Amino acid sequence: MTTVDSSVPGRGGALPRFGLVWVTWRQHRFAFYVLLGMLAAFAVLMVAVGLQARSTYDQLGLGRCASFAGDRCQRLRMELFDWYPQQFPFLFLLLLPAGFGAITGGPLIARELETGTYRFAWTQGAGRTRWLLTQLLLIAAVLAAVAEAYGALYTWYNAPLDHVMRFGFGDYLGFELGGIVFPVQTLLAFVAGVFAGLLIRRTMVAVGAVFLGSFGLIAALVFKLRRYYMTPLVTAGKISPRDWVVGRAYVDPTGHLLDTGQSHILYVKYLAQLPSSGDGPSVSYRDWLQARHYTIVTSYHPAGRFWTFQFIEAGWMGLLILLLGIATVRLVRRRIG
Amino acid sequence: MSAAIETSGLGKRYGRTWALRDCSLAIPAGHVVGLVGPNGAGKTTLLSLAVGLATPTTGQVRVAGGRPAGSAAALDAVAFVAQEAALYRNLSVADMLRMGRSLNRRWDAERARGRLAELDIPPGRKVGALSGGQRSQVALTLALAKRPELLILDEPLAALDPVARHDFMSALMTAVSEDGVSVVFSSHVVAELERVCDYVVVVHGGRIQVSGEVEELVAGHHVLTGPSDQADAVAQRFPVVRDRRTFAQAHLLVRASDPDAAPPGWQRHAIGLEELVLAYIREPSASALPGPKPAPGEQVAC
Amino acid sequence: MDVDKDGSPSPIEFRLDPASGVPTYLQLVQQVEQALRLGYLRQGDQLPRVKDVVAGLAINPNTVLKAYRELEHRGLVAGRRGLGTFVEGTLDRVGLREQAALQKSMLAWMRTASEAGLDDAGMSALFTAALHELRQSREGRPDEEGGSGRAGVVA
Repeated sequence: MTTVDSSVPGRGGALPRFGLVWVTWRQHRFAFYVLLGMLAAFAVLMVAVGLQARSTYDQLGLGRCASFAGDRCQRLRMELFDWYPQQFPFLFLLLLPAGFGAITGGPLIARELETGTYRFAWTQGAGRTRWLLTQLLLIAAVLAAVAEAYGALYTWYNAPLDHVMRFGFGDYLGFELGGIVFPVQTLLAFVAGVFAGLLIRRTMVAVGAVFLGSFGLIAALVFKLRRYYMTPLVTAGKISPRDWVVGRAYVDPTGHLLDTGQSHILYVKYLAQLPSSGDGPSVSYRDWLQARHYTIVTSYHPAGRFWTFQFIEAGWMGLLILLLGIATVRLVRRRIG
Repeated sequence: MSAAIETSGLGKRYGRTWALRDCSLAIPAGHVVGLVGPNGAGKTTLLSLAVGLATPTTGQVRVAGGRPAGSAAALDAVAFVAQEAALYRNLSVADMLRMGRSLNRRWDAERARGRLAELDIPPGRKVGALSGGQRSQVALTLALAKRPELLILDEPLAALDPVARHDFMSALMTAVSEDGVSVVFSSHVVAELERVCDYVVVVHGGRIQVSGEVEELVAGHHVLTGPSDQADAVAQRFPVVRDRRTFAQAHLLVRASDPDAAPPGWQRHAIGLEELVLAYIREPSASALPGPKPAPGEQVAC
Repeated sequence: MDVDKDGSPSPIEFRLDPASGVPTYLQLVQQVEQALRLGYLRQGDQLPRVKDVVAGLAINPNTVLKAYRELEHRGLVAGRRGLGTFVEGTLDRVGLREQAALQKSMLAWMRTASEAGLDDAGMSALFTAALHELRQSREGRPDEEGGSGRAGVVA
């Protein structure tokens, strides 16, 4: 029979150094493989197309365009734009933070409570706090890394196009994936999932609820709410390429601000006077308005605010993550069982 | 002797219902303790409190020699086998062993593997694919591999067929004889307790009704059988636990250890543990707790 | 059919009758005494190891220890530290020829009883009652420790 250190009852030694790491890994092995698999597939796609994009960029000679004012460079860049795959399908990426977070977070505690395995896990020597903290931190780290990888891959893939088109920084995917908010959103969904699982105690319900809630929140931010983080600047003049336009209003020569209906009528008027089938030069809307002494009043966030916005979003989400995390740990320690 | 489980004024309320109340116990170590009572009596609640899965509403509970239940020291010294052997069904047996090793400070991996080999349980098989008896054996192996001072089991035999039950008990008793571990297990089945338990606790309606060494309890109770018309007179002389009469014959279960206690014309019978426990369960107001003995003629009440 | 042979060093093996109403430890004591009487156990033989009994019968080890202590108390066995429990003393063994003679006289009594009109159950009841009386008369004797240890000899 083995000799085991039983000289000191109750304190036979220390916990195995990476014991809890192994436990986390073993319990989430499948999710980990799926995450990595999806990331690998995405990476292959992004790298393949991204390399082709760069070669197209070089072929088109876009490197020699200093600005894109001139006709030729304008045309070239539209060629690159047409070459690039449609952006629309990539909006599925917006589902990922909610999806990854809810699916890994929801079952973490809920499954233990539902199947009764918490009666095993929380009566072992390591105790429930260490168990929970290790799981939370390790999974959070992996999720953050994976999310960041998605961001980096997309940004790299999109770089040639972004360089020539100079999208405003509020562009949905550009903002989501070009900074730090993507991982932070994923972590928020994750912690919300864990917390919901603890309260609801039913895995499927928790996953579903958190997925819908997180995605709803993110969609609302992306399409509606993000612009309100700061008060936009207003100008009657031109804006720089990467500035984020959040509103446009038209002022007629008498100084009267047009409402939506009137703006629309104005635009229709412009369209009507355009030469049909593109014969002859067409005037831009801006120039046409200027000629008629209309002023375009633009509300925008200057390009420099990109990181400010990133930190604002990461900040309040980070606070939520902290609060939910602490609440989860405290509730678990209070021995809901 | 240190106590396996010590509680004082322990109570647990779920919502508005008290699952356990006024529970003060001092279960000694080095025994095999049977915790019995009808379903819903509070056995699982008591054990959950003892292993730290639930927090008391009132009072406190200490285990394995004064360690607060659920503390790190207690988690090291106490092993728990939950109802229906709470194990991860999708993990293999070997993975469960590894999980036990990863989560505990003291772990006898060699012995765990040896036990499973003796039981012919293949380590590669998923836990969900094992039979109920095998799962229970795995859960027991995991608990014993921790080298606990106290082993607590919640209804370990409930889902097992008779052969599996025997094998499980045999394994448990072997562990007691080899390691000297204290055992507390709950059961709503009262039969065959005497073979295994040397200390018994009866829980009924959330309260402790009986608590004591089996030998003392059995020696301290007798059934007196005699004519009903004398029953009242006889009942005055002893603390009566249970009084069963027809128009002619009466059986009085009394607490008395004096061997000459049988009145003339009455027969005195010894009583087995099973019958004794059942009698107490049927008389919820009676109790047999350590403390001052009740006076003769008194209905033994809480 | 599998013959269940274990590697136990003892010549005897215990069995339990849960329905008999006799306390477990007493059943073990009685089985050892019976084995001694019938010659299954002889001087120097080892009693089943506690752990084997416990594994086979699924009973509390303290019960086995209690039984062995009682047997030691009756002077029949002795424990040797680390080795086990071994047979030391003997019961007054009734020799085979004596047993045959006793059986013959019992048969004679049975024929008498049968002619008197007693059936099997009646004879058995009479025997049990007489045994009870014998036991009670022995218990009445002072300083008689473990009187039943000398059972098997019908005066």
